[in-house]
Amino acid sequence: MANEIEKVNSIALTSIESVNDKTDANIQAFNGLEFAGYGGLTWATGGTDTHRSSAATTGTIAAFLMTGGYT
Amino acid sequence: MARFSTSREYNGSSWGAGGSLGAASSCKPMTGTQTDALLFGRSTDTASPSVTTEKYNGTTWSASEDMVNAKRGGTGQSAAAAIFCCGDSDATNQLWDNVSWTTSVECTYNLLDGSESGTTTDAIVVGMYDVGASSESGKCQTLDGTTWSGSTDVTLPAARYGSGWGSGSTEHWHYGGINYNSSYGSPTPHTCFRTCVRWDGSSWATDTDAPDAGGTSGGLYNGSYAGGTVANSGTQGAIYHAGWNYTAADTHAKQTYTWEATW
Repeated sequence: MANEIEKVNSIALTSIESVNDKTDANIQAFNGLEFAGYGGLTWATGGTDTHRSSAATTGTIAAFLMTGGYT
Repeated sequence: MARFSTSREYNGSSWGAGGSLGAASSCKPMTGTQTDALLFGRSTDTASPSVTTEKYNGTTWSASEDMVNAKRGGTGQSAAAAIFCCGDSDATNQLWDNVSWTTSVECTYNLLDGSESGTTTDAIVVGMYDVGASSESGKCQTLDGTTWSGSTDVTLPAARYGSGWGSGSTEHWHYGGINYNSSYGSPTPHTCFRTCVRWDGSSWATDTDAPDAGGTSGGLYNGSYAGGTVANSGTQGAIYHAGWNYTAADTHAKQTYTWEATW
């Protein structure tokens, strides 16, 4: 979507040299959203564990929790 | 069928044992973290959800306040705030405020066996069975904090028992699932979708396929509900574990894969 923005407050993007003294080369993200466009998922295998269907899960890859389910 | 009461924990490279629930159950909605989690609606019989709510502190599960009524489907941003939305008997939402459940607004569609993500104020629910219409559905609906609205249907064929993760109405993925040609009927042909699709807040697009799980079509269904992280956390990623695939027309097989998706 960023490429569709031509002006901010009537100022052309090409005329903006910096934001809060940071040049565009040094701005990587706004509110955690990176300028780099979405590049798609990357899948990796993480080993195996007991088969469970209909288990509940939450957390992150590095701290993941799975409970219940059936086999 | 043997149900588990036990929990399993993954640290990014290996699985280990966690605490045990009050009873062996099939489960679905859970929110929070590995050390502060909320589980609700678990089922100790074939299909019926319960009103049971339990909390996990990283070591032990303990009983908490019951839900208003028993349904499946829900999401939330923490163990302290969750939403239980649609599915089963009605489309009424229930909100968890870390003390008790209260009823809230109704979803636009009463959907079941799909996927959900988001928070109590910004959520998405995707397919795959429309209870009101008694049919397979790719319907999608989003919550803006006050009301639910119908959104763009997911571009997969109707596929139940898939998994999803994301951050709510502006970003959500749906993976896998199985096609059913008649509601609750025998699935023929058996197709487990390997496709993953992504919602960016305005449209659905096909994303990178999950790894090939073998079988007739490479996909999985009814695995552990894929976990995701809240957007802007800085650690984006999701896990899909286990599930079933079909190896022949009427033969499905248990799988034990753990897959990680990053973006």
